Amino acid sequence: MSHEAYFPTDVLDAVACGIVLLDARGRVLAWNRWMENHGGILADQAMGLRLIELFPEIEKKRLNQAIDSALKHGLAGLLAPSIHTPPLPLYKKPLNATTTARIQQLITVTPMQMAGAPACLLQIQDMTFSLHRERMLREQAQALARSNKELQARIDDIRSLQNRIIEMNTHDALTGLFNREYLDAALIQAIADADEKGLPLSLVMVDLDLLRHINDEWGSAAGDAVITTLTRQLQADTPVGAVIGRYGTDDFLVLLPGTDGNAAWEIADIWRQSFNAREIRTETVSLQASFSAGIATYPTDHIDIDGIIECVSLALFLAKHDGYNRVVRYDPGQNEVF
Amino acid sequence: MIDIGELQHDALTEIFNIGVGRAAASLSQIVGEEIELTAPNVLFLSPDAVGEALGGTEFEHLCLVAQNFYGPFDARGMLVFPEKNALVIVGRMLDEVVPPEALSEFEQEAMCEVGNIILNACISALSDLFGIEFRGSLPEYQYAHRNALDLLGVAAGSSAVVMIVQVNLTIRQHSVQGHLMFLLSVSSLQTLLDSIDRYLIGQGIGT
Repeated sequence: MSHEAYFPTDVLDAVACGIVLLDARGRVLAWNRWMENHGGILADQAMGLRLIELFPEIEKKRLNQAIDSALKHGLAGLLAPSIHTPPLPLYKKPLNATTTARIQQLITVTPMQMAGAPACLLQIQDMTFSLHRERMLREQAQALARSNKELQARIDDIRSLQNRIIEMNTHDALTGLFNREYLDAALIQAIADADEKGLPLSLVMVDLDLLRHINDEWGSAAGDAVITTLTRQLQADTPVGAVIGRYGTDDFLVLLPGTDGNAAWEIADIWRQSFNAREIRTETVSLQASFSAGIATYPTDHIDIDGIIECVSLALFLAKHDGYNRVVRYDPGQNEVF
Repeated sequence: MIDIGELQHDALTEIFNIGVGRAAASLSQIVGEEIELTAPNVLFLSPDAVGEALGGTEFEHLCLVAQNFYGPFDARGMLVFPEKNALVIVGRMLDEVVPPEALSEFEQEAMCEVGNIILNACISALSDLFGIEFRGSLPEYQYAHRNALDLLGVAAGSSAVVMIVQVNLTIRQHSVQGHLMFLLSVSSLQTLLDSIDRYLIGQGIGT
């Protein structure tokens, strides 16, 4: 029986994959040029021999089982290159068979009937390039995914760092209150608001008495406890709209919009009394502290920012000078004294 | 659910276990380590009931390898795995973890071959024991959502019958479950049942 009636040799030779036709006993009926080129076996040499005689290594292997299954049971089979080492010794150039790797093979085994007898067609496709490209693409995709992940982690780091910097720029690290830079900007804004609304703006500058002494005597933990206690008190008892910030190491500035000097004094003196009455505890010590405060009011006492800061500083100085633990309003008359 | 006799049921279960047993031997050889396959149960259902039978949330996406078989009775045979189970199988066979979105034609071909080996082994077990002949097409890979009718390619209310064989596959202490489904026309079902009866009589146990 010849395959010519079914597949003209010219056509088989033109096909760009390996074509092998086997008869019912597994003997080669057709062997195309692709097989000659890549298998190093000529069609004339292959004809009439069983595939297992040409390639003894396929015995008991999946390819031979698939051929059996096609010839005996009429069932088609497929051998995927991704889960098999190449089943047949086929090479790009068979002459260099010892030095080059086998072609990656996708093999389909299709049962046929020829002249009333079972036969089987093998088609062998060269998947070397696609498999190589696929693996490369996958490696690249994995590398990309990895570097994306790293980049994302760095972006997250930078974001949280930025947030901390913004926080540090406007807030004092120990107390969480606004810092000096923020207070300067807030004062400009508060004065503009006071001008616009025609309302007074009072400034209260609060300075802890003998903070250095406390630090020296009981340690900086005690000093910090005094500062945070005062912070909590100011935050708890401040009217709505007030701005509280840490102005220096041991002084605080409170802006009280819409509040005149008398009212500001009343508020600050309540803070003073209540703070002085507190017992401040640390792990090692329990103590009492006090503060002195000065008050100046815009625009009553002065009409520019530097001037009003000078006024409030002077009033604070007088409160300290008078013996601590008191609240003093700026008095233009006293200005003459110094 | 369509009832068949207990003897028929036991015979079919036995035949499918012979089939998947042969398939396991082939797969083990390919992977170079032991793969165990069992077929603990065989059911007959109408296509409308298949979705429920496949049940469970893990069956949202299904991988399907299908082959058509022609012989004394015709059947469309399918190996169905939930997508992630399919990836486990292929991933383990390829020795790498494959993310679902990266399932390339190479994994699909690998799945096709797994399906091909299992389906062919079962059909050849049927052929051997019933003494009948089939022709089988090459496997095709399909990916489907849970709609079982789409999966089977039949219209709602179809009179066809689905033979479902539960398949458990164990590789490297990892166990995954899938199903073999054979879509049969009513006359094909009858021919199958007749074949079982003849086989039982041949074994001296049928009547």
